[in-house]
Amino acid sequence: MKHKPSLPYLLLLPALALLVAILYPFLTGAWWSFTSYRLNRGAPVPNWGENFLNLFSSGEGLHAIGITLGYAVVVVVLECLFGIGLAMLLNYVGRIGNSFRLLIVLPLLLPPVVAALMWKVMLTENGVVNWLLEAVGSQKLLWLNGPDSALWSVVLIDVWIFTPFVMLLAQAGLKSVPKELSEASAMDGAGPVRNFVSVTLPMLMPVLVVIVTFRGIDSLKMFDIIYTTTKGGPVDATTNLHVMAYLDGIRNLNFGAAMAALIVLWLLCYLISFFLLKARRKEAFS
Amino acid sequence: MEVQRFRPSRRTVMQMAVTAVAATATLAACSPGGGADSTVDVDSFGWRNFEGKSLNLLMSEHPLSAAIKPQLSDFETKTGIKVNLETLSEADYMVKILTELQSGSGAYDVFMTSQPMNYQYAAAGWIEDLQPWVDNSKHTAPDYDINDFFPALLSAERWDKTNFGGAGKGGLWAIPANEEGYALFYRKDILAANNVEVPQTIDELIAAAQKLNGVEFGGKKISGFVSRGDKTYPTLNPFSTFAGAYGVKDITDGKATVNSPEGIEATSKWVELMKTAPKAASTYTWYEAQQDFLAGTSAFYIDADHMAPDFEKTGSAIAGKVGYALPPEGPKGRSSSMWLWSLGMNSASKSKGAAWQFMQWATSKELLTSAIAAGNMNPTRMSVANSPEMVQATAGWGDYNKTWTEILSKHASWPYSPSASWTNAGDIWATAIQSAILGQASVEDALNDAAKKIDAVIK
Amino acid sequence: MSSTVVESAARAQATPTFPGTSRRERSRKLRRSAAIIVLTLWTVFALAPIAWILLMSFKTPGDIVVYPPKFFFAPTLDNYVKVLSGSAFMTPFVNSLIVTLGSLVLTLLIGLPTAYALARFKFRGRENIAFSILSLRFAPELLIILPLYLIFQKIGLYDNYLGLILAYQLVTLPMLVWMLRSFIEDLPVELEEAVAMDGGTRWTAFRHVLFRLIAPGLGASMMLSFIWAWNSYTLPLVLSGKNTQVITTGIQQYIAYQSIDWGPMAAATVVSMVPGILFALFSLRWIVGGLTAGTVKG
Repeated sequence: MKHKPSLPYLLLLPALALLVAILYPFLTGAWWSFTSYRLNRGAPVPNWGENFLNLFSSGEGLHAIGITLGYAVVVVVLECLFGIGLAMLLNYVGRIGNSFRLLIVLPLLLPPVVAALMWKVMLTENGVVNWLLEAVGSQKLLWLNGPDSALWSVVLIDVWIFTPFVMLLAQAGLKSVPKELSEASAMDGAGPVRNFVSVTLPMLMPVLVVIVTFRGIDSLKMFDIIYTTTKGGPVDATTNLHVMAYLDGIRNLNFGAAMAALIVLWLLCYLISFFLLKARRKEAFS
Repeated sequence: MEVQRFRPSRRTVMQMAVTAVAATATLAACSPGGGADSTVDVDSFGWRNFEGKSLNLLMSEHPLSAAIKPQLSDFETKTGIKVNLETLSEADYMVKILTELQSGSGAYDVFMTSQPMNYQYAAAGWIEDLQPWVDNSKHTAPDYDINDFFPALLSAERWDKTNFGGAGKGGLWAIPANEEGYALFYRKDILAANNVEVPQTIDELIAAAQKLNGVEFGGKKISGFVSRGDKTYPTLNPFSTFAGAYGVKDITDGKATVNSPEGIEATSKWVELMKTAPKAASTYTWYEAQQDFLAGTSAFYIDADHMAPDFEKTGSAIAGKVGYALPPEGPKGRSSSMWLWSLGMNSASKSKGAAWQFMQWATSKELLTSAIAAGNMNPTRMSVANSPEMVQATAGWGDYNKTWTEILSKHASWPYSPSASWTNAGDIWATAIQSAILGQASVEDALNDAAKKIDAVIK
Repeated sequence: MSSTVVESAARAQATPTFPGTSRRERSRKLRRSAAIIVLTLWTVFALAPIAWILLMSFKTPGDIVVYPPKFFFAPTLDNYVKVLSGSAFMTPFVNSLIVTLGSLVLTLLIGLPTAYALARFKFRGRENIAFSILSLRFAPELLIILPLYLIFQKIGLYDNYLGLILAYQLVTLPMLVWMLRSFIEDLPVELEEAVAMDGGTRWTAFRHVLFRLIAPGLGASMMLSFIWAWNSYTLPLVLSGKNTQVITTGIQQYIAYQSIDWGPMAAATVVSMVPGILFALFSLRWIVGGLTAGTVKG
């Protein structure tokens, strides 16, 4: 179809305006990351890369980067597995799936900070979960209070909240997989696994990339759930970059260091989406 | 179609940068003169001097704000000043007030503060020195009676901005409206059933907690002790009873001394006691600790003395069963931290005169007396502490009244060094204690490590 | 992607399913039961904590703080009365409705043309722009809130619905644009061209054909935009004041110093889920029905 060369830009204008508007606060934050800015000790003084150097040379900084990446990988993998699985089951069972779906989506409707608070109460030493464990003859667990179990407990809460997110998008994506194709491949004697890999997965790819990108970004940036339940503890067992930046910045007013951690976090998000989306483009048009 | 690269052209980047700079310049140009004090010159004090002004207050959810909220209209009628009160949960409040103060916008005139916050804010010049206001008879009501406040409390609000020194001197940064000291709570019934005397010393407390840990009482398995173990500085408040009893100082002559011999001893004793608490207590905040105690599963508990209303309220499983005792004694006697929720004034406020009137009203004898009913059980004014209302509200709470006043008059002080970066040092110290309780490091290693980190922060 | 696939997809909707042999029928039934069992298990996992909150919302304080936990108790409506009467929670609730719906409308107004342009036109800088829109979501809120607060104070957007609606675009817009773009790209351009051949404009083609076909994607991304706006926390915490406080901070007002009012907090949480459930009922239907021609009116 023909169009005026200016049409696409015209359509994009509002979004571009928003982009430009956010530039000032972003650049301010970015600038602070290159200063020794302490909120209560006068104007920012540049110290150039020192904050970043500290971050990458200190045990705490590297630990936080490790937690950030580890958490994101575990959470995204689990949620994709469960979410896509649930979406396929929903499609498979037909109409009855609609009622299931509404119920499964409910955790998404709670603000994560409230959900985390409720989970914290349920997972406490004398909470309802431990009571259930004892009732079935098991031992009480430490959950969020244990140095070894805290991170997994936070992962549990994240999976509980965000698996429906993956499920919803995956289901929308699966709608574009023609039944005929998978049925044809089933007739050819392909097992469900081969069917999934050779038919469903490629068709799901475009949506899957979007899912992984958004879940990836959000889990790299995870703050609400972790801070509400553990404040990054016990000790530093759940301290990721965002929590570390909050402790540095909001609690201790050390904004230079906090902004540096956030810029590193921003870069991680940037790089991961960049490569994911580049891969998608390549795949879509090869 | 070819694979596109995400590579903004140099020109785009330049354009964006130019726009940003232009935006900054515009914003800077339209900012007001900054910090202009609109203290109108008034001839003499009068509650209607600032009629027509409006005030914005930011507070956290607390008996203090709960007591003020329903009576705001009285203040509005009395003064003709319009008041907007915004309250948030404490965690939310901390983020919001910090954002506001650092912006210097003066959007909120009066807010709640505490000593560590005073240090942070005073060092930055965000909080108004109230001494000149108190001294100014044109602005202060003749019957305000500042000398009615417990002297120890006013002294804790003063600091001359010298890092690691100058406490109790210099500017008055806030007016105390709620005080907490740290007391030993015990379950009278559990102690009696097991023939345990109320412990007087730290060693006695540890022995008693160990003895009671694991006993069955009322069909429940009891833990000997419970308290906060969270990794942030508020944990140092209950811990202060041990730190003070051994004479531990956080910082001496500009160097961290949390790992001094007495520091190690006090912490070892605390860790020993916390071993009789539920395992999860190593991460408890006041809230979880209080819940355990309320659920009736702990024999001893050290925390803020004004938690009493929660223990004693109707429907509580432990009402009438709690004993209130002084913090246990150590080689250096008894000791307790002192936490003050207070009112402070934003130094960027554009209606300071009206703000000061509000602060006077909110810390007046009348209002603080009515605050007792809202749960503010540790009045900061002597006249209110000794009032019949206080006696009546705490009747049937055993030794509560005697205990808290004795803690306040004899044992409580802010035991930590005033400094703009104290909260950071406090967090590091609390984290070290947590890691020792969890057994991730020995007490000595944890504290040595903390001392190193604190030194790096305060240098 | 080739267009034949999509055409066959469209045809597949009309094709009746193959009648199977009885053995295949039996194994299919077995598999279906297994699928329903797995779904049930997950549903229990998803609902249990919510059921717990629901129970809590009918409890008196004495029933909440006990061990062992109580499953049977004399229910009370006090918590709901406390939450629903008075402005402490209802004001944030109404504010959240206004701001969330406002954000959705604005997101659609900005997002649909953006997604369409990015999917259907080739022009210089397209991928850069697309990626920049995604990057709105990269920046952790903490990185931008201090400067943002100052700007909002100065230009009068602080404690203002419009200000919040604008700020919420950071969370809602990127998702909608990227979802829709991916959906539009997957649809054959020939469909629109057919409309154009019949003398229709680009707009009619968009309205009659594309809009209908992207309904599942639109439904899903509207739903998620709603959720993100509704649950947004850090941005409104800092950018809203007394007049525009939203539910995320409103629910937490029951966390007071030295005591937490669990009952009213649970009740507030339950009430705060209602709009989301209603919205889900409405938008989830789109996700299912979207591709089936005729079920969605254009």
